[in-house]
Amino acid sequence: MDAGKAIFELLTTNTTVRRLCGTRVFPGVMAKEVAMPAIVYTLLYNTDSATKDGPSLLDMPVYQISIFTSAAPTGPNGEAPNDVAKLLREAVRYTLERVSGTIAGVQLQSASHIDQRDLFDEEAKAFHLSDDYQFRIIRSNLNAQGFSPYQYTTAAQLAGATVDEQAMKCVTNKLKQ
Amino acid sequence: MATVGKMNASRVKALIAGKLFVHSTNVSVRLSAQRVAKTTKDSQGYLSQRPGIKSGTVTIRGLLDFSIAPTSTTDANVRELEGYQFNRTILPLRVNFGGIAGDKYLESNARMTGYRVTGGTEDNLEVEATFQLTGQIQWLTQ
Repeated sequence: MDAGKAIFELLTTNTTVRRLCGTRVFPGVMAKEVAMPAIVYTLLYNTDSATKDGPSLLDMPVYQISIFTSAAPTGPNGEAPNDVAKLLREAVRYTLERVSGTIAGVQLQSASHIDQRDLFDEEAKAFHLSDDYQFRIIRSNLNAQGFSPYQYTTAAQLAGATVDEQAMKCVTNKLKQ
Repeated sequence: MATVGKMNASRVKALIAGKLFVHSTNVSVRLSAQRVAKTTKDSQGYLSQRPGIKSGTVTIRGLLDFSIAPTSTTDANVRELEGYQFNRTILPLRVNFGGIAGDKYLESNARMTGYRVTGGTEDNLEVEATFQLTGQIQWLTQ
């Protein structure tokens, strides 16, 4: 389950975020020569909840949400650049924190804000406000996404395999489709 | 045929009263044997040990799941443990090491002596139960 899809959906549909940065929300890297402010979200790491029963049914990925604002332009109401960035940071936090539900197909149990930093990108002459969020993503509907072992792998292939091995075979077969 | 090669600890699982404890993340077994210190005419004042009481504990940690009904005939989780805590029940406890024919398992009766639920903010709810083994502790082959 890609929490990034949920982040994109949430940020591009929130009216305050849209007012401040439109739909300039990018996974991993900002598009070239894009207007600012803009948001980039990047997966930092993931902690899973594997048990002896089998693979993790609940992942806890941590995403860095970076807000870039140019040092030059002002906001829609004449705000200073850094103030625009901070307004956007609050809007993003308001949008993401403790959100739950199925968003863009991702079963999101919760999200929490865990860290933040103020940076300045000297080369791009841009303010860079960086916030980290941890998401709790339910993975128990993997079957619904077509990862069912019974759909893509014969029972004979799975005979004797551990739960982990079965899951790996399912993913492998899914990728072959 | 027993498990070949180094064991994957994911296959070490506990069964409480015949039901698999689901969503477990750690199962540990601790066995000990006390020794009685003696001295005899032959030991000339030096320590001469005699065997004492043999005992053991099993600790199970896992993720809490209230959706496992106590009436389930195959799975056990926190609601089973609540019953054992308050009823002080002696129950059969088994720890499988590998879980296939030829692998060893430990079996004994036990009483639950410790129960802890830890719930941090935005974290998994974890349960830990400690069982004091009582009576004979057997190492058997599956």
